[in-house]
Amino acid sequence: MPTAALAATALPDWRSADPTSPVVAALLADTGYVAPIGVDRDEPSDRQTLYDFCLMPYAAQPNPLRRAQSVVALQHSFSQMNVGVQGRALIERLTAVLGPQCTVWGVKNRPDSDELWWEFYFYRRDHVPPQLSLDLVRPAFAPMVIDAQPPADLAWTFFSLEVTAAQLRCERPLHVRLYQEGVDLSWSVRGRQLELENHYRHFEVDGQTPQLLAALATSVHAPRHPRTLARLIPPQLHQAWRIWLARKRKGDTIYFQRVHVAQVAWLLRRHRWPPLFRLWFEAAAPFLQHVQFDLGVDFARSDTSIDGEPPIAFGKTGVYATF
Amino acid sequence: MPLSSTATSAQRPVVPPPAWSGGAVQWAAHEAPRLAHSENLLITFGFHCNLACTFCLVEDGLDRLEGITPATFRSWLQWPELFRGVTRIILSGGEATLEPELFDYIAIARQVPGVQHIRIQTNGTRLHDRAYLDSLIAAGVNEFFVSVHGWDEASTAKITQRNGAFRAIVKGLEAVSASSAALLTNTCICTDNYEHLIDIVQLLAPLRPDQMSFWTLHLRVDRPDTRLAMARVGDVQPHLLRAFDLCDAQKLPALVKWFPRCLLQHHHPKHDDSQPTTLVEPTFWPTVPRYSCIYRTACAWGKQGCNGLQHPYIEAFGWEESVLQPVALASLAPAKGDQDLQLDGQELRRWQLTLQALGIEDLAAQVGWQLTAAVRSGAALRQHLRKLPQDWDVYLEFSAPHSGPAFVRTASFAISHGRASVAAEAALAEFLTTLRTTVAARDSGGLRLPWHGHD
Repeated sequence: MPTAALAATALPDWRSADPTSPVVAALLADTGYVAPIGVDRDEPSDRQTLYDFCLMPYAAQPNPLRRAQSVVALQHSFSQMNVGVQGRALIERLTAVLGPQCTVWGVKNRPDSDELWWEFYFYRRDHVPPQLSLDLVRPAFAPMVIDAQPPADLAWTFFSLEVTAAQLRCERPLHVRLYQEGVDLSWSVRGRQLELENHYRHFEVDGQTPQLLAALATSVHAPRHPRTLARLIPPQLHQAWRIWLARKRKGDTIYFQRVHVAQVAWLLRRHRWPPLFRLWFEAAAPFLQHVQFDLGVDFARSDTSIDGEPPIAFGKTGVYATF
Repeated sequence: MPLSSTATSAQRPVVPPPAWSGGAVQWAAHEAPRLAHSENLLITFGFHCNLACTFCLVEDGLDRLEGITPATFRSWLQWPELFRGVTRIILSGGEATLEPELFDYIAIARQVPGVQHIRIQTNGTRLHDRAYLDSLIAAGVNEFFVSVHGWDEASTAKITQRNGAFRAIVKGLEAVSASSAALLTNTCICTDNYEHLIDIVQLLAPLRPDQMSFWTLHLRVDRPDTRLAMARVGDVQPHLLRAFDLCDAQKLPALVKWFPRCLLQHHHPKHDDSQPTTLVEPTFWPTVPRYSCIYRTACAWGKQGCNGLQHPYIEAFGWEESVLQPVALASLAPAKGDQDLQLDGQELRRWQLTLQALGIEDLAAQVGWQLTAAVRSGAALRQHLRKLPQDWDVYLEFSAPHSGPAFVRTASFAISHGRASVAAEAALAEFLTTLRTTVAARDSGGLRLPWHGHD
């Protein structure tokens, strides 16, 4: 029955395509995907504006399937670390305090480690309650201990709290960072002590490539090698809105702002995230096509060069979105 | 003619979904399906070959992929609009001349309205048979696109892994050259031949091809390049430029694909990365390499169709950032990144209340303007207006109070407006005059942009 041949052909696996290929969108347009357990929270049907990891708004991308909220990935990461109940409660408390779409979350991992941990970021933005402060969110993290007591007169534009599974079980105090947009600095806060941590700079992919290359060329953590740039900015992630370079003491970080869910799946594979989380994320990906995620990749010099590769050691990687 | 309007389900042809074109052709739910996004449509079938080129693009699909059957192709003829815009149908897959039903495909292609060219992509080894060649031409083929990857017997045997292939290809080329059909050649640039591109031009020049194409190896199958078939663009460049110099001297039209345009110097007009819409089974597509250039957005060519380097190349050799020579843009001002964002339902309701408080809709209606969409643009809200029947569109931009330029300031907003077309200027001025004299008085303060704060 020749005319049926086209329809009868099974679709290939979208994960085997380059994440930026239109092939991915064509395959993900198939409506036969089944959502994995945990994809249990959908975007309101009239929500067309989403927010990136700078809590800046963007237009939701098309998704022919039902649109899951990106927070389902965060929830699944909690479950994977056996703190699903505590994590879900934290999400609900933060949403109750700040309202929807006001919290940036990041889930993090180191290569070949099964451990996931998290960081939550709180920005002063138009749609965020103007009384935002560390004290405002402190109760949402209770009974976790936040020992940071930054000076009240300190100028900041956002802050973050880093949370591990152990901390969710209340075993250690949370790590707090303050950030200053404009001067592009971040500070670690322990008690009343502030310590300079990182310097951030962003580059528009459309228009500031020479500046980005110049900045990377001056990274003390990036070895000179013909393929260094291709390893730090792999072609699979070049298609982003902005690329950030964070200069840090022991290694730098590249961030890719606003990438497709297929690019996230690619990064999880490339940087060897825990297989269970990776496979769950790939199964959920069709339902997250409308989200633009953000990615971070730590790198530093390595002592060894294997198979002629540039001597780069990749450290922690992170996936970011909002709820 | 939408398919659903007149056809019964039994009559409908099976139209390949976007996955068959690698996502190149998409249509929305309200649109009639189509097969091609360009004037060139490539139909694949007959995945068999009598050569075994070391870089074969469909090596993994030979004797496996079925392609589009004549019956499927024929069924599309019921719906000529599927082919809208198509003027050339290219028949390919494996070696097309090995396909027993080739003449069926040609006959069907000839029936497609608007089609002027039927092209066969072939290795040419069977075209030395003049009777066979004449029958193809009589059936409607008027272009032969013949692969020529070697410059002599030994090089061709190495690349095609078949002794005697060179002689058969040259005889086929000579036959096409002597026929009424157009002869086009295609050379895949790889490590085995890049130093001899000029030899290939010298080989072909006496046959006066209508076009010589040089395609950089497109690494779809052997990834990562275990056969070391990819040549560095910096190594290829001088040989390609000399080959093009000879083409120019011989007045032979030539082009190159998938090679950075910035390295072609004065031959840059020969760069052409375009491809026909290709219909092939979805399993073909995931391994098709993507292309990028680190200078894509910083180079004039990157914005004008130069795809850059394939990803397997970048992974093997890097971005070649010190080899490429990006062409400066007229302006390198970074994009602001502001998008027009739709308001959600709650924001829209808040904004409608604000418009009512300001009486904007009534003011607009008095002078014949209607309020249309309201969108968020950066930190401002743009309220669009339309005047019918002229269909003029303008917008008012509402920002939180600021000290910058504004058309009118109220207690809650700084309001400016977009530029109108010359024809609309007078009508807009009438509305703006009314607005300026009344709106400030209607705003006693406390109004907000709809995404500011919470209810």
